Amino acid sequence: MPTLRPILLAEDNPNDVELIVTALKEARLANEIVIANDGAQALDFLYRRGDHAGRTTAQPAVILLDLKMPKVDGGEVLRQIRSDPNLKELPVVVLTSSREESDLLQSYEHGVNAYVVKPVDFEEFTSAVAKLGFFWALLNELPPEKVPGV
Amino acid sequence: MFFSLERKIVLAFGITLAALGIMVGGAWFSLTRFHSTFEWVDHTHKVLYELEALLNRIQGVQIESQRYLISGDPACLDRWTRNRGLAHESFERLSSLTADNPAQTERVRQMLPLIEQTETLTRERHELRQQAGGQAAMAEASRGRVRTVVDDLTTRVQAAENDERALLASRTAVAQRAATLTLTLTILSSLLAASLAGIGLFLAIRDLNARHKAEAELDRFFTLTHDLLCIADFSGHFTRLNPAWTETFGFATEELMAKPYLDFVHPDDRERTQAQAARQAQGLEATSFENRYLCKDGTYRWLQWNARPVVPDRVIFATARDVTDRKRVEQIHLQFRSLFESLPGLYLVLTPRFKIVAVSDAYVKSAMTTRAALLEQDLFEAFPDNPDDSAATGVVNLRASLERVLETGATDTMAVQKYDVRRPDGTYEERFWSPINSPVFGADRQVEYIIHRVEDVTDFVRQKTREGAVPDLQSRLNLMEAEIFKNSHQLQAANQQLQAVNGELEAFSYSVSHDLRAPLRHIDGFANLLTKHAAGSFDEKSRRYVEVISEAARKMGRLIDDLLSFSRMGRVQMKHSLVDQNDLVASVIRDGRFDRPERPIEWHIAPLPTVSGDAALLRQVWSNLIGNAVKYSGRVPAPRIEIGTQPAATPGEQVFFIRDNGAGFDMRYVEKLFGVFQRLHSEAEFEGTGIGLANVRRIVTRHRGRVWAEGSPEAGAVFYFSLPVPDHAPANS
Repeated sequence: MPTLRPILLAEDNPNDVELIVTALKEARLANEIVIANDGAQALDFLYRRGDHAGRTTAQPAVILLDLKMPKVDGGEVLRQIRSDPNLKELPVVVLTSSREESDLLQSYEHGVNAYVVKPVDFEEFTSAVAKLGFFWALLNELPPEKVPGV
Repeated sequence: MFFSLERKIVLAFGITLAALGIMVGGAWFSLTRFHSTFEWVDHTHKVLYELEALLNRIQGVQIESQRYLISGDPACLDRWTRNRGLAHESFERLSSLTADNPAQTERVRQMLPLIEQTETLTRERHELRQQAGGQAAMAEASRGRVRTVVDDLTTRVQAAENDERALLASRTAVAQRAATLTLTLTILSSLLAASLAGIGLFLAIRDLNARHKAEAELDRFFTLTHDLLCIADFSGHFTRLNPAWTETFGFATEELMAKPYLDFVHPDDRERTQAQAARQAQGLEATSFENRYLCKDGTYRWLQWNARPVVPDRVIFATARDVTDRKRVEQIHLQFRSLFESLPGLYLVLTPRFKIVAVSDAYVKSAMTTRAALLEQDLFEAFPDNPDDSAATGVVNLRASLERVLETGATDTMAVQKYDVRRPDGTYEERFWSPINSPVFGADRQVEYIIHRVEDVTDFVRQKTREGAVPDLQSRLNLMEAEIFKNSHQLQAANQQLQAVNGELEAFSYSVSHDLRAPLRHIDGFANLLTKHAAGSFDEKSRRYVEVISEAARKMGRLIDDLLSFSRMGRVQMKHSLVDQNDLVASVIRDGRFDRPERPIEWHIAPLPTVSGDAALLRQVWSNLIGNAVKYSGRVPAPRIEIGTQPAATPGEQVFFIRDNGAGFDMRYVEKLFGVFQRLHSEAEFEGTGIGLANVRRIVTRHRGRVWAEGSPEAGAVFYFSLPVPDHAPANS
């Protein structure tokens, strides 16, 4: 069985963080869940710099990205990921409250893998998150990891 | 090719002549050689003969002497003398014959003493005989002294003969060698000459062929081309014409060449043509000279000429092209232009860069200027704002309108504009205009021109601003029109404001959709977590309380969604097309999956006409109405839904209905039915937020239609909506 890659969750609202983490745990996913509270932290993690300098763990199996975050927002994070040759293959799922067409269009234009609107209903929400986690972390095949620095 | 054809031929001839010369020279050389050989042979024979003669004569001398000795006959002495003389003659001849050869000369010279010795000895014997008698002489003779000399002489003569023969042989050999050499040289030079000549000839023939081919090609072009090619002489006749002339004009080539070409030129063009011909006779070229030529059927065609004279040969080479069609188009252009310019309205035609390319006479007059001053000018340079009017908006508004035309490709009507006009003396006159700008599309479907049409409404506007009584109906009418014109200005401003407000609303609803949902989600989420966490320690009541909290949050979420979609219904741009209602209804029913196996729905759907409208919005209407029909039939054992049309009360409308046999409603509250969030049933009876019918009404209203409904409790309901018939539908909403 290959080594489990972490799940990166970029979400500024701590309540949403708690709900999502709980849902993922309920789905019995063993992957480590890394929290970034804004876009800058998320990028620091991916680039192994700042607080995450010298990180040796693998790149995440999936990035759950909220759009509205302070400092660097989700759209900007997505753009940077997709324009970096070392990161562009990482799966990104936008997980947001907004169903606005403009957000959808922009996200897809920047090459998001999936766009999921957080349902208000808790059951639906849990189920959606669990399915996401299961699919991206376990079922989906990822391209082989690029050695950092190469 | 390096050498021209002429040079090659000259070269070939030259080489041949040179070869001939060599051959002749060689032959002459051989002949002289042979000739000298013959001479030599002759010479040798002469020498040999003389040598023989000499020997003979000496032997004669000897013999006659012996005879004398024997017989004492004096006749012998005579013969002895004669022989002696002859021998000397031979010797003399020999000497001269061999003078050229030193060896022979020497040999012959050495014979002389022997000859003399023979004479002397024989003479001595004669004397002896005369003195001592025959016996004594004979005894002397038997000593053989004469014989020795004669033998010696004989040997020498033979040697000389051999030498002479050898000389002949060698000379002959030399001559033969010379002859062989000459022959060889002659043959070689002949061969060389022949091959060079052959090569030269081959190249010359190839050149000739190429020339022939080129000529044939030119000939083919000359015959094939549709352009008219000709050669004419200075006397005014055609001397050569290609077949295109017959094709174009119908006359046979002979007919065209039989008469002077001026006979075929249109009478009005003859003078010009003659003048042109005279110029060409002086060596001037003509390009693009045009005149008309007669066809066999009596009509004339326009020709455009390129001609080049060759004065020394007194001919003109010319090509002509049939430009009749182009001329016709030019004439049509001119006709249309004068037609446009004489139109009674005030028109300007502009390029997409706002350059003036045409203007009607009426416009020129109204602008108090000249056509020349306007054509090819930039519109705003020709018509600037009045510099004394700081609030002038004419230029900026007109520019905006023209940009709109370019962008949308649609006609743009402007509100009444104040746009002062400059008088010739430089002062400005106050004017009001009502402009309409419309696009003209080119072949590539892009805007090629913009037509700017104005009405001068200065008088109307002035009248409006004039306070006081308006005596008659006509002035009242004028006043109202002026009012309309002025108000359209305000309308435009209001429109712009509205668009701004719409934009703000858009931003607002975006914010709502995002920011309001998050807390709701947290409420529901944590309520659930609370229940799970407490699990055992919660009693029935606690659980129920928490459930209420969750449900409230969820409900609020639905309300927000519905409100947002309702707002969007009102704002979104309608895209009109012809919508097949049958397809639409069938699709809604299919996607709605209303049928349940345990409770099948009886559908009665009549054929529905096609309408003009926004397909997506109309789909919403049907989706809501059908969805409602199904929902409110939820408690009926045999639900029946009927969809169809019915005749319209007002013409120009189509009326659609949907009837169900479900829960129905109380007609007393029919006014509330289409209100936002208004419901006639409780949430417990039938779920829903009460936004569906409000959406339906909003959409149908935007389509310029109406909605209404009838129903009775527990006996079903009918919902009607009308849409305008396609012909009357507006292009834009």
